[in-house]
Amino acid sequence: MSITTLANTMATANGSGYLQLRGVGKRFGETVVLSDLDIDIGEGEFISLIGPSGSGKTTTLRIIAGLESPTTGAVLVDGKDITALLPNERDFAMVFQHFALFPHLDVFQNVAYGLRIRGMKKAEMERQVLPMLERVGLRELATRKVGELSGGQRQRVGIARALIVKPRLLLLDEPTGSLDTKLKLAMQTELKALHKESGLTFIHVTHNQSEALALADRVYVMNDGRIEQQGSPTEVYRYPATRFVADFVGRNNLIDGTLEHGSFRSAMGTFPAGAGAAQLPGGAGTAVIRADAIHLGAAEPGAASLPVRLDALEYAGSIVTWFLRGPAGPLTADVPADDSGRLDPQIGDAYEAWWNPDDVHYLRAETRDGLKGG
Amino acid sequence: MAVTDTAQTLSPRHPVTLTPTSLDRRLRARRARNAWLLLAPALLVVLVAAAAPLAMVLWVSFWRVDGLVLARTIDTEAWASVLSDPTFRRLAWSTVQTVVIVLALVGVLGLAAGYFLARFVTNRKVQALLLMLAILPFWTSYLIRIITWQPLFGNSGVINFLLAKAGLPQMELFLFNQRAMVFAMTSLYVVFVIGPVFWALSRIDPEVIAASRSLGASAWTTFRTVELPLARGGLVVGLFFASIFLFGDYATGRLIGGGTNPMLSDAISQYAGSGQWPVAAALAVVLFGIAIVVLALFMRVYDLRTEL
Ligand SMILES: Nc1ncnc2c1ncn2[C@@H]1O[C@H](COP(=O)(O)OP(=O)(O)OP(=O)(O)O)[C@@H](O)[C@H]1O
Ligand SMILES: [Mg+2]
Repeated sequence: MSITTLANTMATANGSGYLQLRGVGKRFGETVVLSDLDIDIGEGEFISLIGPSGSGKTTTLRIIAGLESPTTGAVLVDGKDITALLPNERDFAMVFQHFALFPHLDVFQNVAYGLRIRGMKKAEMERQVLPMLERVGLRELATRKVGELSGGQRQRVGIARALIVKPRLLLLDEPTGSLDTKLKLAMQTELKALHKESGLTFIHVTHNQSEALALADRVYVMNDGRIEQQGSPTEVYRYPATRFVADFVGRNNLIDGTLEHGSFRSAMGTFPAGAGAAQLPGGAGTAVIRADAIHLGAAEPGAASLPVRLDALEYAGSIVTWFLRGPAGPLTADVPADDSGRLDPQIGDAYEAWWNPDDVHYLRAETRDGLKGG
Repeated sequence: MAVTDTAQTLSPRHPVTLTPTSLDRRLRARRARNAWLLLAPALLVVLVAAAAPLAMVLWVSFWRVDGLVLARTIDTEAWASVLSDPTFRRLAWSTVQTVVIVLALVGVLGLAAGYFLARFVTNRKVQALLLMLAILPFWTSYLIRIITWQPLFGNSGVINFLLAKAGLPQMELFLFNQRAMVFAMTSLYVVFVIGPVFWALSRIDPEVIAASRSLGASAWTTFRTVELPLARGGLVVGLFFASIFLFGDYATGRLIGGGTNPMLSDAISQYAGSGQWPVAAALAVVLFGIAIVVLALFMRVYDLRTEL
């Protein structure tokens, strides 16, 4: 009880607390899908839930929408418990992962549905729906059956259909999941603009971490029905709190070892520990080194370095990813294409990999072990 | 003109025998041939078992009965009596009435039961079991049904007993009258609607219903604006088949209705039974006509071809 009160006070102090999930758990029969979820969202925030497939993101959204009732815990809006409210009694709208468009209605009627059931007159409906269709680029397809649309077009119908009812909270389940890269970027820009302009609260689910980092004010990382970490995109990206987050967000190299007297000892070698170690007492830990913090070629003075061999290369535009083999395991480096070209990489050749010790982030070993414990 | 020119100048240099259009034509020809091959057996059955007897019936309606002998002539005597006798008109009217009443009941009850099965029974096995139960009336004979209904609906049956207990006025006999017939027909044919409606409702993506709810629709609004339109095909298919059976069902009316509200089909069987073949045939043609009109009305309400 006192913990709840404390959490409540903290939430208010945060200036957030529009929507809260308190200790929400969900079981389907014997399967535990969510356990003890605490989420706290401020009005007007753009939140991303990220996590691998099956981690419970959709289930979380469905519980917020009222389409699924939590086995334990409560959902609160403005401090009021809404767990028992029906979906239509909540002022939320949802964009579904698999579109869920009305198959018997055309594009216009799909978008107009929320207005129609509110008893809106036809003329007024047209006045609102047509600009919305314009906005999502579907004006020409207004009379098309939804079965005759491409995946991307369906997704846009789904978004328009949810936005038109002017909900207080928009739940987006992988809204760019079925779009190609170009459309995806366009849709991301559009979502960001919509969020800014509408002032609505967005909760957005994705398993694409770069999308979450690009869009969200705050990110919740989920794994196995739990929240692993929450924070701003930069925080989550730079300072992953658990081994899972370090592995899932960004491209990180994880090296297990021991911290002592300002150096980090591991099977890969012994390196200067850097500023990141200051937060940790000595003992077992994991060094997290972002792939783009690892450089190749002549090491700067004071850098941590180790000999590696090049296993494979992957070209992705301005970045070349080097898959390396160190003394005791693999290492991945994202190298700017220009630098990579200068090094003239040959598979199997030996190189020296190095990093600035201050770029290393350390995880306590307890976090690592405590992960799946329970 | 210009197009033809290009084609002519191009053809020697590009000796293409199969342009896309000719491939298209070949594919279409093959499809047409396959379609006829697939259709032929069924068509043959329809011709032999339906079209020929129908033509026969039409012909018989122009025969004449001389005493006990059937004369194969072209005579309008049977038609004259069928069209002039008000009894037959009343018969036709009461048939249509009965069919409409039963269809209305079967539609509403079938929709409710189908909805219950699809939405409230989550166990697949229980669903199948309940559907089987709905078919059960087909497996019991009329005699058994009457015998089992007697203690329930008879004058001194359970219903009247309970009414008396509750101090309510007793009901008159619930057997051998029109009410009993409508009741029996409903219980018999409701399964034609339950099945397709259940199937149509089960096919609806639960996410679509969730979408409707999250957009602010209540459960009832969702039923009205999403589920009913999507299940309408099943409903119409069910009513369609029920009506086909209803028009031909004379046994229920005779055995359970006690002949109080004879159907056209009942009259047909009686005339045929007494050797009045031309009148029976003429009535059959009339019944066929009515059935066609009703089915055409269904088609107007909902294009069955989109569903079948
Ligand atoms: N109705 C249900 N009955 C049983 N298990 C379910 C049900 N719905 C979801 N699950 C299970 O719950 C887990 C989480 O599912 P959920 O759909 O929330 O995952 P997700 O994070 O959205 O995954 P994805 O990225 O693939 O969409 C999965 O293991 C799934 O199998
Ligand atoms: Mg999902």
